Amino acid sequence: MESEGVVCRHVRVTPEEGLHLRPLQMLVRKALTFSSTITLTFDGRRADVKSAFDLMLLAAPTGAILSLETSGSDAAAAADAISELFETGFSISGSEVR
Amino acid sequence: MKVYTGIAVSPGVVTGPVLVLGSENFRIPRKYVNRDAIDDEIHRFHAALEDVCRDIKSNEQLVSAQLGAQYGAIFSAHLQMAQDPRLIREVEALIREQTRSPEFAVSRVLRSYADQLEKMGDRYLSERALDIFDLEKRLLRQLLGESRQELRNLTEPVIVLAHDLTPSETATLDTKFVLGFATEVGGRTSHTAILAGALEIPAIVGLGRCLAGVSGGETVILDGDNGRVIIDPDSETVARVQDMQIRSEKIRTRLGLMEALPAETEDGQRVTICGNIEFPEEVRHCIKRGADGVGLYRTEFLFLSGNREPSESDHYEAYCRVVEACGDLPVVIRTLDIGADKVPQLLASQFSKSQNPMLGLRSIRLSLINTPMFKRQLRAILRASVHGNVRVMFPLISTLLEFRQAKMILMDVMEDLEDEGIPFQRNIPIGMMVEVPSAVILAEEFAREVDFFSIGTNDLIQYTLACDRSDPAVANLYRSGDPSILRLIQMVLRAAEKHGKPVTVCGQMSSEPRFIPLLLGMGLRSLSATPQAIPRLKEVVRNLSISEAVRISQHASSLDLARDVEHYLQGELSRLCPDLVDTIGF
Repeated sequence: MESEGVVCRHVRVTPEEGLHLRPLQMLVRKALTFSSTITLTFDGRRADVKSAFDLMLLAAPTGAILSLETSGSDAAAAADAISELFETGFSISGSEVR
Repeated sequence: MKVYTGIAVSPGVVTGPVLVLGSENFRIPRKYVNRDAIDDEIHRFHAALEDVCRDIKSNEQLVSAQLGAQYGAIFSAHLQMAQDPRLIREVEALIREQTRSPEFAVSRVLRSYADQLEKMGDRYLSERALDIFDLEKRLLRQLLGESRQELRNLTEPVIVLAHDLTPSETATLDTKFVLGFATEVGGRTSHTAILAGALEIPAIVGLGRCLAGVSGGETVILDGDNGRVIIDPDSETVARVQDMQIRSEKIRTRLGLMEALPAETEDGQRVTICGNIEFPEEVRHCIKRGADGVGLYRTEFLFLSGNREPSESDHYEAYCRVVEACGDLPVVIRTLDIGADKVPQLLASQFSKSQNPMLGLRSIRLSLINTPMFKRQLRAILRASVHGNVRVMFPLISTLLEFRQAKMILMDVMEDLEDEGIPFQRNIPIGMMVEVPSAVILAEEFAREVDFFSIGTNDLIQYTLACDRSDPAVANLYRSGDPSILRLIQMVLRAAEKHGKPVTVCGQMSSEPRFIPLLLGMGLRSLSATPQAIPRLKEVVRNLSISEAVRISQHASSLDLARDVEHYLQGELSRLCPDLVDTIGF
């Protein structure tokens, strides 16, 4: 039986134009690969990272600090994967997402 | 009988009954559902959602296959929205807790998202609202089971006349029954127009308001060659068109034979006929029709399709696909020629919001102030040059300084590549587009510095006659046969000949058969045209001798008015290739 866990971290929005189309699509795509619940909170608003609409309506601008919270059987891996996207500035190799 | 004129985006002439699709205003018939039916209604919502997702996926596959993965990505973003857990949760809640109908719930929830996004005052996000409306439309269409369902259950041939068709609707048209389509809105570079070409059905966009006068079922002639829609044609017109169609079918068969034959005049002069392409996939249209290469490879699609700037490898891959497919045949790659009518979102901030975008920061001017972006493209072109016969061409050059600057940046890039030990073709031919009158006036000076010229007649005509061809009020000034244009082309040919530099004409003019005798008579020996036109051009060339062409061009050059020039050339063409004329216009 896998262990349940909750992981909390902070991430900073680095893309120049804020959390827009491409980063948003990448976040959702990544989040959907985990079974954990993944949320980002900004300015008192909480968004389900598996929901593009939630993320859009979060309207997080460049430089904003968001709290990342993951809970579930793969919480730690999910937190790592999501924060990595923020840390690398959503840069990608090849043409995975346009 | 009523005739409407729009922008011809895909050729061919068809006649059939019209199917009218107005602008879609969904009327939601009931806002509430019976409490007992809640589970059924939620089930209905999920079924509709499933159908929508399936449609989006098939759009994605179709578009990816036909136009490349970067276009398909438009639809993968749509899919992500359709499967959004928040959307599903909120719609279900409205149905379950407030006994709202799925139609009402979908519309209410999606519109609230769009509304919030629009209120944020953020350009990127408010554009996203359009995608949300698209999803709303798709879902309502499924739920209401009406609307454009008529496009799916066709049992007899129709010509579709619509206010607008979305790219997805266009991509899924049943070409067994849809003979052609015309829309009130839309432009030449819209995705709908591009998809029509890929489907190879006649299409016209930008007709302007015309649906009000059509009730559906009337006979319509759609002339995709000339951008005309004739509603309720009189019997004489119908007979003429039918007769023409029979002959055009015959000539299409004969033109098919042209594909394997060289473009050689009766007296043995070989003429080079290349193809103009936009997407890498189109190279096969050129090869299939026996083109002598790619005379104009537009590279804008790389910038117009994504949300990010194309990387060097995006460029490189796209170029290699064409270069390798062409083998030893030349491929002329034109650097970014963007602006005026097509501004990609990712470069939008750099465009001056000037009153006259045609005269503003566009094309090579944009590349020259955006050196990193320009260099990325040039590096990719140079790297691709080792795989075949590549030439590089700069668009919209208006001063010698611009050409020199562009060339200098190319030299810089060569040096970088050399330092890095990356192979490239050092003596890659470097040419320019001649499309600004200043470049014609200084053609002699330019001829000393360039390796080749390519005359882009579309812009040259617009700049010379100071008219915007997409503005119906002045479009009549836009005439390839204008004596001023003939003279400018003559000037370029003379200057180039003096310095032994080759010239190609790659604008719309060179795709029109009637101008071929004129251009050959003036001394032109190289054309680049839309691939579909190549067999027709070969037919003209093969029915012509150079001495005849010279006589035609001399007489045409003595005429004062565009109208007279074009009329004369049309007459000569009908003498040379009578069948061909019948297939062009009626």
